[in-house]
Amino acid sequence: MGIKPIIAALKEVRNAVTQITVFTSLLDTLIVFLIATLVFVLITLPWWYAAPIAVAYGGLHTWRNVKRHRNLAYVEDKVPELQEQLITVADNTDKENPIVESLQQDVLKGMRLIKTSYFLSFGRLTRELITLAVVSILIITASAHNIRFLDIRETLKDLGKLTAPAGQYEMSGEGLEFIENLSEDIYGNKTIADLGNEELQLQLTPMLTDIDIGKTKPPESKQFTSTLPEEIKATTDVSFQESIPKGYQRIVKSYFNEIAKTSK
Amino acid sequence: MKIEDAKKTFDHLLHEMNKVIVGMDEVLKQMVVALLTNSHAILEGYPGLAKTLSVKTMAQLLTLKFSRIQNTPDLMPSDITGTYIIEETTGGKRAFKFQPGPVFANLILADEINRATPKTQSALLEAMQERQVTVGNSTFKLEEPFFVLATQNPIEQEGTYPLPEAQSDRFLFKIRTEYPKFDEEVEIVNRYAEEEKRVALKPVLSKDELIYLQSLTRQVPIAADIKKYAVSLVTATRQKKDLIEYGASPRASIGIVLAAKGRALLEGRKYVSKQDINLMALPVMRHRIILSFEAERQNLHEDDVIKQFLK
Repeated sequence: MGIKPIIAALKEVRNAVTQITVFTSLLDTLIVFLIATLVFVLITLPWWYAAPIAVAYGGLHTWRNVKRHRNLAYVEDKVPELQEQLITVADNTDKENPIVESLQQDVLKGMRLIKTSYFLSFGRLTRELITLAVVSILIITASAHNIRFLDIRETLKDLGKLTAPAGQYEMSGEGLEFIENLSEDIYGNKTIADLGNEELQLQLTPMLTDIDIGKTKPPESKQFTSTLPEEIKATTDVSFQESIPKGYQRIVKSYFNEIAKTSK
Repeated sequence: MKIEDAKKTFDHLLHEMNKVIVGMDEVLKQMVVALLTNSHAILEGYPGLAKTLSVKTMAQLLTLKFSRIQNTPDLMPSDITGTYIIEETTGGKRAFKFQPGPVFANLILADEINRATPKTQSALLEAMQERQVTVGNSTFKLEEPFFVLATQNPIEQEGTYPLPEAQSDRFLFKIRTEYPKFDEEVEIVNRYAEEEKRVALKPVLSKDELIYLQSLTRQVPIAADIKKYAVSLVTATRQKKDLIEYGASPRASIGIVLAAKGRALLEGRKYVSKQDINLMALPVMRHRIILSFEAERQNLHEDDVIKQFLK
């Protein structure tokens, strides 16, 4: 008996194992993709974000499994009848002597016993298919009913605000820079200064207004006339000037700046 | 002869040996493996553990030329190798003729080898290694197969010359004979303390068959991983400096793989298994390592340390 049949048989076994491994790895990858999709749907992120994760996982997982399973030790583990023989034969295909040939014949006989089912765990396959079905149903349900656990973008924004360093009362640095003798600027944001700490209660009730939001009217055409003054210039009223001593202007400016900061 | 036939032959050989020897299955198997690998073995054990009887029994079962060398301190190298003697021809002419010593045999029992002086030991060990003997200016090739089974006991140190490591390295195996179990000892008593019965042993293996089996042994294939495992065991002995002062040489790697092949053939297997390596690692390496003081302080023996490497 020549050495060719055993080489062909070994190649066939390797290919069969590779195909099964790729199939199971793809199934695993599909589960990962669906789980990732579900998670992204629930946290209000685009579902296709799951694709790169699945591709990366699938590539790595398949490569690792194929590498491990192409090793004949894996086949030997699954087919105890060929324990230690298969690898020995594979490692000694270049040798020709009565013992090696006899061993090759034994292994060829043993290889006929190898079934695809040896490499497929039906329990695991069933569990994976059930998982696939369950996750698919969850995705459909979450999408149909618009179920969202959180909006991750908003949460991240809020977290960003929370983690931002809180303002401190400092009398040094940029806050102290100002232009002297421009006393109208030292009050900072005027609108805040006017409102103070009072809470603004606004309520828009359709009943209390004349505007009917439900009714739509065609836009009215309006004629606009130019009312621009011929000349625009800024002047300072003398009465607005306050005679704040130069030495206190810095403190007043900082005071209003801090009010402006805390009221934001 | 097919593997299956070889297995039957070995089974028959061991069966016949068991007619004389009780409860030394592993020792007998290791002796057969040494025979298959065309290597030498040293049997170490306390007196009265049937070391010599085992070798003698094996010699009876093989149609090989057998000789026995009883080593003593006054044994000379020429007593082993042979010497030139003056011979007178029929015409009255005198000529030197080489008188071969006991080393010119196929199976040699070198009993109590550590009782011979280093000079005599060297003469024997040189023959073992080179498989030839040089006397004067002439070199004589020894007949194949050439197989030395030496014995020594580990307790008597007075008047002995322990084999140097370099010389004990030439033995493939150091086979340890242990005390028999209780039931086995009862059987020994039954066999040898009762009415003396002569056990008729018939030769099981001829010289040609043995040579063929030796060639078959080398043909047993071994997987690359298992070969690497065997080598890793040997190299590990050189790295464990805390317990081993001097590790085993590459000769040990060759020895383990070869012995494992022999073991596989003995078991009727067409491939070497990891179990063969593990079984052969102890007898192959135990005389090739020198333990450190730390190991001795921990009361560890060579086997204990080697077992730490086995997976």
